[in-house]
Amino acid sequence: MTNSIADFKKADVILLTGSNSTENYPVIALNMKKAIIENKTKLIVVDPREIEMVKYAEIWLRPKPGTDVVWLNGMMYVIIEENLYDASYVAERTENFMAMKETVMKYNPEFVERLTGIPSEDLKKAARIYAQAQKGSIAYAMGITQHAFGTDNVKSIANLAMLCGNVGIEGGGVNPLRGQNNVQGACDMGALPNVFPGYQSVSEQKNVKKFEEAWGIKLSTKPGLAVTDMWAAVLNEELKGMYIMGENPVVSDPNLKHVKATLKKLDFLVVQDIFMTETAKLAHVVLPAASFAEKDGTFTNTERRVQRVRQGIEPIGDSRPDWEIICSLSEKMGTPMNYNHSEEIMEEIASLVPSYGGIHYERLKNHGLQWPCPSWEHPGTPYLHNAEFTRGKGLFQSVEFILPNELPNKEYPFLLSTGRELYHYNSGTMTRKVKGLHAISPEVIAEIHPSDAEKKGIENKNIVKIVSRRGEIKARVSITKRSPEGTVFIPFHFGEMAVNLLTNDALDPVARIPEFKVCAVRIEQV
Amino acid sequence: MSKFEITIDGQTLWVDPGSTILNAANAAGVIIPTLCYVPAKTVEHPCGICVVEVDGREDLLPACSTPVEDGMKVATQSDRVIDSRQRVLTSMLSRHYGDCIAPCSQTCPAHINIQGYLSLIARGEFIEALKLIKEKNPLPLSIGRVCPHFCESRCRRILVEEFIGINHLKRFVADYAIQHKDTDVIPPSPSSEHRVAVIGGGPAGLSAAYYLSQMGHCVTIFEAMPQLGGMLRYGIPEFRLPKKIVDQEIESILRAGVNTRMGRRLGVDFTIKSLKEEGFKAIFLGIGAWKNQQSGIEGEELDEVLSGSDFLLKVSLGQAPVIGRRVAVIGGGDTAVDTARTCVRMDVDEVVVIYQRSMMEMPAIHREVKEAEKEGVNFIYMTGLSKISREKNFLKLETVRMKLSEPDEKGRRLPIPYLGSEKIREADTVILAPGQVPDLSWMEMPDENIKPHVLAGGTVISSPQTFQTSEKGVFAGGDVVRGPRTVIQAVTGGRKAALAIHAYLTDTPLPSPKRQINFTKGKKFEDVDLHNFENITLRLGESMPVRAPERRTRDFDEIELGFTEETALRESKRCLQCGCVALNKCELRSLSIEYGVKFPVSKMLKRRQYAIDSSHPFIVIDPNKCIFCQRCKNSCEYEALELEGKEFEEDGFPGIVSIRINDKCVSCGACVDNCPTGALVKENVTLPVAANEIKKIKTVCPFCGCGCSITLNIKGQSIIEVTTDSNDSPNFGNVCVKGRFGSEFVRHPDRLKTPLVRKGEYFWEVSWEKAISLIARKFLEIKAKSGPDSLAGLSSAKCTTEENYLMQKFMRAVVGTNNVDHCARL
Repeated sequence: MTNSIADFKKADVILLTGSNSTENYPVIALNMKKAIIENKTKLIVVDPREIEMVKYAEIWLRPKPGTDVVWLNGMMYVIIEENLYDASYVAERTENFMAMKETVMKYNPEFVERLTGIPSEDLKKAARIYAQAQKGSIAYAMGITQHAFGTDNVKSIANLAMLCGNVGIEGGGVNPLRGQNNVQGACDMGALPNVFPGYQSVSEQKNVKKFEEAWGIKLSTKPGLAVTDMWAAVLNEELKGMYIMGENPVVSDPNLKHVKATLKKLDFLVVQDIFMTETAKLAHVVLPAASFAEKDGTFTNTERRVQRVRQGIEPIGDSRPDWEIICSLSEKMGTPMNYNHSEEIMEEIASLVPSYGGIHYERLKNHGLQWPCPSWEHPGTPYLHNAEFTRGKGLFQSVEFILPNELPNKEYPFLLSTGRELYHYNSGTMTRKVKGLHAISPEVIAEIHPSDAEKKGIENKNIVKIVSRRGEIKARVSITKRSPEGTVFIPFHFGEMAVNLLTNDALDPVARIPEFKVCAVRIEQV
Repeated sequence: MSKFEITIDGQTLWVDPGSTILNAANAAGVIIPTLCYVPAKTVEHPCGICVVEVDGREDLLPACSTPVEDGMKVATQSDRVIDSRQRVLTSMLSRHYGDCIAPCSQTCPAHINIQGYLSLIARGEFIEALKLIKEKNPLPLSIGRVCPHFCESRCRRILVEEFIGINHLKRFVADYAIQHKDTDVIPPSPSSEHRVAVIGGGPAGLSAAYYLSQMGHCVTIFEAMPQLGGMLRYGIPEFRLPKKIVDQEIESILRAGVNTRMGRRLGVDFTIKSLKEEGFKAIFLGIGAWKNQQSGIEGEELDEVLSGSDFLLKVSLGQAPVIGRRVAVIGGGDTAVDTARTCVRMDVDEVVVIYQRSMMEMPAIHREVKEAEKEGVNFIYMTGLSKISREKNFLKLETVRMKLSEPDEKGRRLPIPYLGSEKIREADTVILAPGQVPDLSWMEMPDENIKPHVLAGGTVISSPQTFQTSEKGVFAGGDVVRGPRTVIQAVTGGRKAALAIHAYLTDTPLPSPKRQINFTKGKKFEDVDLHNFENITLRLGESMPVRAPERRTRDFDEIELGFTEETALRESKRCLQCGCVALNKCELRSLSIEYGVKFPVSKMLKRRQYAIDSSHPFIVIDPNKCIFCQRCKNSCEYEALELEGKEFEEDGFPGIVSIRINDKCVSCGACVDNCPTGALVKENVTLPVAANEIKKIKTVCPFCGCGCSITLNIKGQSIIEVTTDSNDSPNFGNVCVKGRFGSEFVRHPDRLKTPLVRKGEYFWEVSWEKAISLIARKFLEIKAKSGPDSLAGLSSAKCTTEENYLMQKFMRAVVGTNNVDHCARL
């Protein structure tokens, strides 16, 4: 997030898209609701599903899944056409406006209506509300990114925010809501194939030199494989061994049958986790890890806040914190990494990652610190790009609409979208072990629109078979108008009936993110 | 805007105009109590607790809604204010119905948190259960076998079908720890410079030594006998408490860092005076009661007439006395029954126990009497023995039928002979088991000059609070003070004395016992409203597996075999959880105690007004405990909590309340954590603990990217519940269902506990060393053969930032590849 969670209360308008916030980010949704009720903040929801936040919305646009670039460009069309954009911001802080304008001006509201199904008048109204706000905040999540063109969607959002001068101000911003407790920290620390910690590219010589000096060892300059590309590499016999820490790709990745078969081909697989996950069952060695309650460290949340995780109890059984396990393994492999406490690791991070330069345990006692926090004295950064963007001026990019990789046809007439629900979390490894959560949500549910159900003669709570080109699962039907006609929504928490057996492993060319939000399926009665 | 000057309790403050007295006081660190206040909410029916006295105003004013005025003078603790608060609290108490602490714990002499350890057993946390027991009882292996379990006699489950087998469960966890070599030794805290002598290595002395060494003192036990254990070893027969068990128990005490000097008898090998001279700062007298009382029966001096306690002592030393084929044991205590049962295991034809009262009055544990009967011991009740005489080759016993007198002023009914009912019985050996008293002959030694005062009955006097005798620095507890009692009572005496000795040594005051308010649904069974037990499924108790009487009388092996994990789980789940699990958060109780509200048991409600609603998956509603503070309703952000009061009475409180959670509820649990009583509790909180026993650890929620601050409430190694703090960013007290209730996975039995290595289709447990070596070898092999890029690592958004850093460093620096990624995209 460029801005902070508390900032939603300061916004005049929030544009929420591709995020079922009440279920996936309940506390952020609560902040938004309070802004709407207490501070009269206006909410625009753009989402194919009738999510709960629609109730609080000034206006709700319901695009067909996979048409985000179209409505985003359409909104910008209206804003430019009606001269509602922040001309001085565009002039002073951005570049490449004209090229971007040329592209968006192809997307007039009538054209947008034909492609997205959003009535042109609604689009105009929403565009005006956003553009006329002093402080406009855009919040989005996986509904925007989990497409074969997710990067394009994000670029379009950035275009819209910059067009209205909403980046670099309190209460505004481009705010991706991050799904997992420490996904931000994992990215910041360079648990990515192309960058060292602090997003320092592995192909740049000065970065390589810096880390070689710090770690005292020669490093590879060849960017590595993204997780979604690793599977192909296993099949090509390029990858022989894997070390998987706290991940469950056998439930969470697209086109599971393929993932499972692939993992079985590895010569050697090590899985380190707190439970015997579906992935761990395929391993050659399984290492028991300590849970969050049993170790010290930090998590970095969606607003870049580095916060202390504190040990409450001793590790269960003979389990050990992940960092200790990695230390012993490195020692055994002859390149020891020795740390006595997680704090020593953070000190090393502070010395190597400029945005974490001022982050020390001693300073994290109360509220944590939001990076960038380059020095001991720096108070942290509640919102980014205050004076200028990382690259200097904000770059508008022309983005054209591309069709999703796989759309419904005669044989697979329904569009499948996947996501999360309030009562479970990701592959369910943790939440499905909680009695009360299991009681509320014991099994996989497929949301189907009433008119589709009627056509197919399906009744509520029936079990149906959902079939895609890659696999099939059975699920209990919940008939609801939440998802539009012609679509099915299924959460991905349930390993025994994993919806990712169906999903498409088409990837965004840049971010290598799978297209979880669109694939084609058919529904069969059982 | 300029600030207002106000005075609160004499302290001058500059406050913002527009703030309330409550906010101004809180900002200045003056705590004004309130039970209904929720920030930014107006309360329909204010509780009235926060009233204060303002100069120049006749009425007391509610601090939460009265704005400050310039020059205002406020008193928050004046007599009028206190009086008003007491009245309001009394009104609330008079509508409250429940039990603060379960009757079992209240009845236990050691006040062990019984409900707590049963709930831990039910959750499969056996070692945690044992630790909770050992907070009050360091001898669970022994006491789990021989306790008369006063607790079970007050167990309310009897009102459903049968009481819970509490003591069997205690034994189960103690045995479990031994079998699993999980001996849970808590390392002693840094040593103090104080040396303490404990005289007597029986239950009282062992207990005192254990707790003193836990507190860091240097303890030495002086024991007259060849081995430690006291009556556990020398008074209780092998078949009830095997010596091997006693050895294990003692080992765990000594492991806590206790020294011993064996075979050293007070008055023979040393004196209290000599101990003082040696430099022991405090001396604990735990010598028990080993001297036989005279029975007063004519003929007791005959050779064939033995003493029960001597008999048991000799048997345990392997020097069993010779007895005849017909044995008569005289007495009704545990010694008599143990003696009879020991005789049954020897070469005899007949064993009778003669007791002058009925079975009802018998001080022996009734279960043991039943077992003795099964083993063939005959009990002859209401029979007195007046004379024993020798006839040729047997003994003649002159007995008489007894009746009980009308109760005397102490309620005790004395046995009186029925004249004319005299009867002659025959026996070869008579074993007398009258009571025992402390052996104080050491006081007569010429070089002893420290002699604590003694009661006429022959017991040493020590203060019930300080445990100090009339001699400074000399403390006493257990049977030497109270006469022969149960092991648990001796252990409790030892523990309390340890606390008192610690206070003495460190020159700190003993915590003065505050008058508690303990709500009860009824002290006696007949007072308890049976509506409480509606809807409870009948489930009979698990029975203790025992060896068949005809087999077990052939040897001295242990009779009771112990619960299995399955029976223990089933039995512990029968607990009705009488005690309030909101004990740690109950502001009603803590305020009532703080304000000295007097609320006797006689005033407590005796009828249950409302059924308990446990239909919500996370929240249990008990309107009987509701004091209508309305904080639940006002803290709900989702309009999901419907609270209604009807038939308001003179004191402003409703006669009828209803609490309902509607379908807007998202289970965030804010209402529960705001409830100041047990009206709303978390379904998964089953361990009742006092607030001062809980360790609060602030950390971050492990689920979504909001990164909510949460507080783990921990007792021992168990996460009791998750709460939040309204001062902590980024969530300021708000949290979702996963944050508040989702941490249960941490203690799920399926957690991986040891490294596993695949062999074919199966996994085998291996040591860390083996697992790590194997991985290192395999990774190095693959790297050598196919290059570093043939390896890849997946890091995790669930792990800490430090761990992610280390994982990528491992892949890059140790393996030598950039093939590292994580699930950000999924």
